[in-house]
Amino acid sequence: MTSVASAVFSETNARPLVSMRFRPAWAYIDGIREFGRFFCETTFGAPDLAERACVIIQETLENAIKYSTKGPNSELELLILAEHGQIEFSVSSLPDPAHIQNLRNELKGLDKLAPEEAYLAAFLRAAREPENSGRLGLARVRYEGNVELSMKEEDGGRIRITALGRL
Amino acid sequence: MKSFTDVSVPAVPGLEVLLSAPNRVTMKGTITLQDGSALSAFFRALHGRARDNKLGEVELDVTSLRFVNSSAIRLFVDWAVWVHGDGAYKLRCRIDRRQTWQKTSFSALIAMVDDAIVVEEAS
Amino acid sequence: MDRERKPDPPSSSKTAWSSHSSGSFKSPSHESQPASATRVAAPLPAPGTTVVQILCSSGSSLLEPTHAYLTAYCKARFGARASDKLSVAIYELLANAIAYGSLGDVVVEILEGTVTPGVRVANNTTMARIGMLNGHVSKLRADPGKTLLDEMKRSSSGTVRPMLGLVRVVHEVGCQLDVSVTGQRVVVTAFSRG
Repeated sequence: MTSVASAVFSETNARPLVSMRFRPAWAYIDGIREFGRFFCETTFGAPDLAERACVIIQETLENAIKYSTKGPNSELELLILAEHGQIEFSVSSLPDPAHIQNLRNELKGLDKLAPEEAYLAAFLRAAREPENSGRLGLARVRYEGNVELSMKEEDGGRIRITALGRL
Repeated sequence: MKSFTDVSVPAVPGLEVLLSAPNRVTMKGTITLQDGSALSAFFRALHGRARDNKLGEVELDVTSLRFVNSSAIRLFVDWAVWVHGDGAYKLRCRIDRRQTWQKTSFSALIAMVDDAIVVEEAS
Repeated sequence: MDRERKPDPPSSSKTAWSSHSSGSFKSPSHESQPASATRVAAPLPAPGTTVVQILCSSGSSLLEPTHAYLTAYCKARFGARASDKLSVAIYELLANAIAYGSLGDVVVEILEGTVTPGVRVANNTTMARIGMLNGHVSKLRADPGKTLLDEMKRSSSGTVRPMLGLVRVVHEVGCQLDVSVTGQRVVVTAFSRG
């Protein structure tokens, strides 16, 4: 696995503030989220950012773990980078290939609406389709996290979901 | 007639739930469940009990619920939809606006089903 | 600046000091340092892969949450036995770097070695502290038991000096320690020894 920052940070060769790899297991999320909270609050002195970090880390990791394959190459990687007033959280995973197109479609759908509209639309969809799983997570990342989301396909069937926003 | 407070509270790691007469549910801590079915069943039981006992209102206090994942938010959506569908009572939600998830989620719930939900902010 | 004493992490069986366990290094001269690290030590195990990397600032208050998180991470990834030892090394190396580092990033990494896991901490510091570190590592190599006793006596007032931390890493939890210096950048690596 090669760590890859988004175009914004790769141009500046920004070094990740946090980089970690782990098996795609739900049990890790709480600890990573709370560490992310402490880290952002302490590093940037910004409780608001810490709260945003919690939502972004929780929901992107849940999404990655839910659709991750199992196996020796299925480790997830979380990166946190910050430079020039911007912060980036990214999660790399090895998903079930069928999920990649669904994710691409979902991100495209989110992009068409402003963050708050997209979040409300997700609520309405959840109300209309009680039998379907939530699908609120990415809309929530965008709205509560105040970030824009993108997806990049990497070597070996891996994808990287990136959340980029202002500090 | 079984009391509202007799509903069995599930054991959820990180979450404390208190039922107090005649109609209050207080939730404290965090909800980051992978499988929300136990909580969903609990909310369903509360809904049924409130309806059967003809309670005009259920008070839901989430001011000390520090963090939830989107699967948990989905459970509140479901509950609001049941209340809207039955029209038997209102769900009065006490929130802390300083917690972003509470501010955003309950605003969205009101926008969706304003006849079923009342939101009041803790002072 | 002395650090306050922290309650001891879980104890581990004492391991005999090995002559390969630490590096000493040349005292810096006033000329500019060569680009490559200055190190005099037996080679460590191949460093393996960095699985966690965290940047913080010297003087930051990230020590306790970072230590807690990395200990939990190591326990999940490497098992309780390795993580108990690494936990001491993580704490002591990171505490020293945060307390005594000068301006600049402190970088802590968890390393998945080919045989055992390790921790690496890098920070900038002053020439004076580099000189002190050099002297201490020499003492540690020469007589680790005496160095431990000396540092414990100095610490009996309740404050912990940085060198006691390194002695604990080597003597108490039996980690293999390497110290290298490039200019004013110090890199300390500790591998658990199974």
